[in-house]
Amino acid sequence: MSDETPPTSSPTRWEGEGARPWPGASWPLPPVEEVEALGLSLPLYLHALLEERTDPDDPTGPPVLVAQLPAMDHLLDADGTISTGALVAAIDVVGGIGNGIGVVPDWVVTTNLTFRRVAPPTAPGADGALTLTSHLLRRGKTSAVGSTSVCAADGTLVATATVTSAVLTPEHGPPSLPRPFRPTPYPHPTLARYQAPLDAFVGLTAGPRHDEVRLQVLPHLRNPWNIVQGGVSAVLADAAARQTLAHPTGIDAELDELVVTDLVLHYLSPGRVGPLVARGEHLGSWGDDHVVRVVLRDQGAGDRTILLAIATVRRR
Amino acid sequence: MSELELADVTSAVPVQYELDGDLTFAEDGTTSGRLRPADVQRTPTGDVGMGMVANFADLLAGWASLRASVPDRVATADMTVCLLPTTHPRHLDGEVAVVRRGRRTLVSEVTIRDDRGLLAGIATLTFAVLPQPPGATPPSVMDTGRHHLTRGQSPPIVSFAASSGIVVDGPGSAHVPITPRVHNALSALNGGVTASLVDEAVAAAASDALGRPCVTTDLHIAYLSLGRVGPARARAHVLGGPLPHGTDRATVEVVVVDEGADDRLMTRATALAVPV
Repeated sequence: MSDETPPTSSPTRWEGEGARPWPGASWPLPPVEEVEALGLSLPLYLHALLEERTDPDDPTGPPVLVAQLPAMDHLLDADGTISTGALVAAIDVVGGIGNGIGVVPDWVVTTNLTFRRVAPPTAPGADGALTLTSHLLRRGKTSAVGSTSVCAADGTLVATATVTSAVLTPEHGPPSLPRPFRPTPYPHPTLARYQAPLDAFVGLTAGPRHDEVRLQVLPHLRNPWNIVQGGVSAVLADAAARQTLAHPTGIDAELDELVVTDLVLHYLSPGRVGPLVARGEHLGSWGDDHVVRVVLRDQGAGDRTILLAIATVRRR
Repeated sequence: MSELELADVTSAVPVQYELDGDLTFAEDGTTSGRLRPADVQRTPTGDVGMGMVANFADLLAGWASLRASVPDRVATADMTVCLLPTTHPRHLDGEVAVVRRGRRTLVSEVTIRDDRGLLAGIATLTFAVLPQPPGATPPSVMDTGRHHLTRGQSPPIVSFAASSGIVVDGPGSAHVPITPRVHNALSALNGGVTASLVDEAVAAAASDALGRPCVTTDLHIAYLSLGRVGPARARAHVLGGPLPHGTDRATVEVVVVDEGADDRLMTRATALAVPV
């Protein structure tokens, strides 16, 4: 694994006709072959430490999966809280694995994810390390449903989520994971790329339209089945919802003044080719809560719709 | 409940027949419909509440999904409804787009507009496809054309929730007996009435937390198991409470259990509610 140094100049490389750099982006992704050589991974980037615990309410049932998510600077929003994109990406990983270990020897893919930040979005204690706890609520023949709570170190509830997964029987069995999960601290990768903001890590770029955000499907954004990870699509939806609402087409607010408080994701088909293009539409408002619908398409796969999202966005 | 006789809620006539309006199945396969709420089915401000809209969306998307799946059957697996502010709409129009058609699930999006054509809400529903057992009679499907919802029943005299038998017991708590009137095709509590039950519990919990009457604006329901015995009990609690003075919204988590089946978990829901 080679290392790299933070860029010292403005980004010059982004993808697609008419694409523009993402606001504030200062970490242009290297070419595909370099990304492969770097061995980047979203779960490693999030640095979540997983632990399986017995459910005290159901000692013979499936284990509860707990994850510690450190509040590293590059995961924080402008107001010092872990960004919605990072939280939902982490929930997709933890909730997905939580559902997955409840159905082994089968495995799962996320079909729906509903996320709600607890009001107000910058609740006291919302900064600092977070604990994600995932419970399996239902295991059916074809689907599994789990809930994930997100709590600050002082126990304050920061967010809640419901993750629904389709149960699959992978040809080569479930992914090889170190069961049971134990929170063995591992050294955070020294790769400079792992200190990049999340938007830059996944390689967001602004589209030619103001309400559009896109990314190239690079190797580090794929799961073991070679499809785009659900968390990456969530990051795109979060960005597109805020971008749609930001000045000059939405309300009089800059991008980093806005936060997605509620996000409902419906994964319709896998993203495989790219570029992925997310486009938002401001549907209406309840006072300070603005409702945005986001459609995410895989442009390289016949513009197929891969995700529908409804986001509630408000000023911080 | 006091306005109703017990016989009203134990009647075998489905409560959905009190939804006045129609469904239209076009030659091109699209499904649309109109809901004309009676005055007693509206909110105190004259609008159409989450429970009614959720039932309308479930009905529309359910029929569209069933027509797309015959001879198999479908069951609602989850439902998301997001409402937008309206001003006393005379009626609501809904149009369904089946956005994913897989072997095991269908996903439908319902766009809902008011009588002026303004967007009033959007709902997304996932249906599990239940394979038709060999030899079983396939589900009956309505023909192409326009069909009235009320099927000749008398107009409602109380709200849809009350007519379903839903009783709010206190802040964040509501229940409904599981009677034939609220059954689905599997003789269990139907998804629309479950949504109404959740809506009532959310509004009660949020109103208590914010100190003002509240309505549900955004709802996600995951249907986890069938409620066959009853009563079904919804318990809602406002997250992050106590809420600071001046808070303009409440995030609410709800569980629904089948009390007659050892409190079996039927549903988990989350919602947003705002003061009226």
